[in-house]
Amino acid sequence: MANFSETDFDDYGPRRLSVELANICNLHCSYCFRSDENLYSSHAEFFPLDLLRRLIDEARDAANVTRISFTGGEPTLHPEFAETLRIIGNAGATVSFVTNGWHFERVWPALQANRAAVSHVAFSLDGVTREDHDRWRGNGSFDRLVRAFTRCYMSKLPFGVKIVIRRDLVDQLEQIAIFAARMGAASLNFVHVMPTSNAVADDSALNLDEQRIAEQEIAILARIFKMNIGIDVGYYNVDETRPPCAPLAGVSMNIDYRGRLSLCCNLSGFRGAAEELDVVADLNVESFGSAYEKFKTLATAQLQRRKDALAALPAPDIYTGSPCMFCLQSFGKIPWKARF
Amino acid sequence: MLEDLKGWLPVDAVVVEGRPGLMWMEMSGVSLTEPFFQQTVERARKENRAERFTEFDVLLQLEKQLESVAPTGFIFHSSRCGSTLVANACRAVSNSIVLSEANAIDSLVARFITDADNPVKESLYSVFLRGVVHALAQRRTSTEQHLFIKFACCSFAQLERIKRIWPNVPWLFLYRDPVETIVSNMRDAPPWLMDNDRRVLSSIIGDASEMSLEELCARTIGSLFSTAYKLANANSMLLNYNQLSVPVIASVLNFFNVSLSSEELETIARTSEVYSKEASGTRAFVADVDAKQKLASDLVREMSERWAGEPYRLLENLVNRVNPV
Repeated sequence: MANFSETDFDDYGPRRLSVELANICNLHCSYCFRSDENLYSSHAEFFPLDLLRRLIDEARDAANVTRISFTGGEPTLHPEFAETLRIIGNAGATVSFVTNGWHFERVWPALQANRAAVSHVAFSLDGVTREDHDRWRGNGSFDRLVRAFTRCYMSKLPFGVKIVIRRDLVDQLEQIAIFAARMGAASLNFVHVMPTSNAVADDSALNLDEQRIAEQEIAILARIFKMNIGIDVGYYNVDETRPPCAPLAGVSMNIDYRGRLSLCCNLSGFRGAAEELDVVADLNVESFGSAYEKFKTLATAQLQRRKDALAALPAPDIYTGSPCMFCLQSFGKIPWKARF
Repeated sequence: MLEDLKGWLPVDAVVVEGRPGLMWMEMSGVSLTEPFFQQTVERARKENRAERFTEFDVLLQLEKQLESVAPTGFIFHSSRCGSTLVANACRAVSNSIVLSEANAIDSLVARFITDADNPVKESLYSVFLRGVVHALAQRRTSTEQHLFIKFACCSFAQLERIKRIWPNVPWLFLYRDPVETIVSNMRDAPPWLMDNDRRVLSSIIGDASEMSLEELCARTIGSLFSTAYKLANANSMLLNYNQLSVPVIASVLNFFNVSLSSEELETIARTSEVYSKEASGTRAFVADVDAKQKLASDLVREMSERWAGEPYRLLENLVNRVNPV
């Protein structure tokens, strides 16, 4: 059995860690795949700073990790966000984070103070007009986002835009690219909807044929724009010669807000999930080095499982052809969907 | 990146290593005085001006930051029918920018035909075309007020797409007796007629693969006449070469909402006496209607009548109805 996870795959870049700084979010996006109980109902939990300090050192020693990406919930809600940046900088690593931009003005001084540590910022977008974006993210959200774009652009802090390809946005892909380029974004990453129920799948997600058309259009955009354009999540990929994504290549790992190492940030805390088979270790009580070995074993086994599934189907459907959907299904994240 | 492009103009739309984009030239202090934009580019190139490639994204940033002149009027034509004379007259208007068959513009218009095989590309190229015009029309001396764009003849076939980008810009279509037009093109065949890549011409006339140059030319101008006939409206002006005179050119500029001073009118009169396409402006203009008719071969006359005769007559009838003598 090929052990992909022990190989460095240049296409996926250097090894990196996603760290969920917070379980909560200030916005309520209906298509979000994070558990709504964590986001809105449970008490707020924030990633402990002591654990962050320890894991940065251990991850560098065990897996040569020097790049960290903060996610959430909304990472800027961490009450000691500035300190998290300082910890990364002091460790000689770099950090990026994904944000809805709502609190960007508040954390801007912290970003300036730790500028050398921050590689880039990724902003979530929901439409290229105030009306479209604010419909999903609340009044004033679009203006805050544009202000944040301007801050970054004027300060030469590279920023990217992430956008979920909902059904109502699929005919605006080029407008989204134009908007992002106009704002000065360095990258534009499209994300397919990760369905959390049949209702979300029916209302917002594209079917396989629609996804393929969207992916072809995105490939055209990627060829035309200098801005880096791609699909981060949910793409259809049945190429078995290489791992289909950074986590299964052993390049990207996730640590949830409780300090547990898991396979992928897109599986973690999934809304409506029945199981947590993607969680490999509790780093509060286990070293990163030991957990990383379990991670590699899981990634390798999952790769093989998908290979077997692909081999069993003459024409892979969306739940097998898309690596993300395959993992959601096989790790028990979408129990409302028939299992294999 | 943007600071790097200060003083640069896009001089062509190209594909480099599979990536479509723009070639730029550093053109600080270079006035656009030649009858054709590419003549100006060639002059600048002889000065060893720097050139560079960028993807189209940069236009979107420039559009936000460069002050630019909005289009005053568009000049379309069916080839060899006096459009350069009109463009030169526009150049006589104070504080004007005249972009005459600039490759970056017409190549992007051609992309609508050669590349825009899906709505994504058409939409993108519309945005980029607007951006290229914005970049070319940047206020380089802070005094510019008028922008006249003369398109290459084949670009007229894309009028509807161009109008979607600039719906309110008045446009002129210049045309000429088809026999005279074909004779002129046969004597000195222009690049659009000799291009081995027939995709643009095929989009205008259908399959353009196997036919004589006479037929190709006749079918093309016939199609352009038909487009003019079909799309002419209150925002357009149709003008036959045989009507060109200084007062008529002045009326074109009035149609473009430009009021001419007596000095500008005098300059137009002076420039209309020289051969319009020569950069030096020293060669005298000689009327050649009779000569062109005498030189027409039987094949030219046959092709002209078969493919362009009826559209030409329709256009003439339309002009006479709108502007009765």
